[in-house]
Amino acid sequence: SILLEDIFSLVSITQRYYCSQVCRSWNEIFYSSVVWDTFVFDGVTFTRKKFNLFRGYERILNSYRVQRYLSRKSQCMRRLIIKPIPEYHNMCDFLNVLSSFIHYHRQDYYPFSYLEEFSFTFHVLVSIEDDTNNQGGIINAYYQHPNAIIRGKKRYYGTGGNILETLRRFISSIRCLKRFYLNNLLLESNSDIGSCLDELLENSCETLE
Amino acid sequence: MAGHKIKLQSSDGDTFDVEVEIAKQSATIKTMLEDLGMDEEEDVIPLPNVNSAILKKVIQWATHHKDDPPPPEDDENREKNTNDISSWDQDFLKVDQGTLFELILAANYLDIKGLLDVTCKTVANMIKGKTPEEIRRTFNIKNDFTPQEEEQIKKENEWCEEK
Repeated sequence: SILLEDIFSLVSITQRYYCSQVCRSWNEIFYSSVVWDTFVFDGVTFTRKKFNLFRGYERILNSYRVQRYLSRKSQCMRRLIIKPIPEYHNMCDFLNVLSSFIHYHRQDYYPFSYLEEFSFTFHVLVSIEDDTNNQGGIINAYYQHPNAIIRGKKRYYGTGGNILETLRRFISSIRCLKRFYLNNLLLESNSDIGSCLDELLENSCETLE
Repeated sequence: MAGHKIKLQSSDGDTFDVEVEIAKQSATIKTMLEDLGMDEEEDVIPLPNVNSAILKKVIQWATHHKDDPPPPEDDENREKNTNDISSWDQDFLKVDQGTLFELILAANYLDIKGLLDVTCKTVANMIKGKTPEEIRRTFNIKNDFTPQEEEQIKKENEWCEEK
């Protein structure tokens, strides 16, 4: 059954749910915390497809499901990995749900007491203007996130504004981390991610490796 | 010590000559050799939990992978992706389910990280995209829930399901 735990942790959450209905012994494994120790936010988990007249199908985060997940499994989570996804709004919504969840429970307990690692990789979007195939996408991203830097024909979408704010809010609410990674941030020289890192150091100073 | 060989003995008594470097992919054997100083050619390492057919497969796998870089110590930092099984491994694992599960158990007992990874991923891929009923059929598992229990566990974890 230890080996089945390994196998469960390799499949998606929906698939674990189906596995839990197979038989009693598989159902027990569903409740083992090892299965839930890593959560990878990949832009697909906890989202549903929605049709939008302008953009076609897009994925929208289902915050309700994230909350249900957190209230059951937050104490199992040891590693949280945010993958670079171009749907910034979903990534921000996800981080906001996490921050609010911590905030909501702050009187009673810290809900991520086993979280050891937070790894965040930003999707630096580079679009080339004369790429006609992707025209829609460019315009899209531009209007949603006016923090774009234009260099020649390339446009870089940086980590600023709401995204940075959301990230800062989350980072300053987590505690007792052991490992912490921020990758591919594209920051303006005068932006201050520093203050939340100070807070992180304060909250995790005894555990950080 | 290249080419130096040791003997491995399966549960049904067959012995296999294996190069030390190949056998050492098994952390269990590696520890035995180092801790017990068993490096004389006459020494036979008994493997009471692995039968000949499976041991043969394991040696075949280890021989193919002998030049692979050693897996990183801290595997927790690796992300798990079930789509990165090499085509050689995929062909190697085209075996019946019984053999596949015996290979998993052997990889676990012998502590061969790479083989355990790839066999577990293969099983995970067999589960993917299947409903509970299809999983039961694939692995020949009996549904031991009462209908009421089934209803209840479905409801309890509804949040998992994509809609």
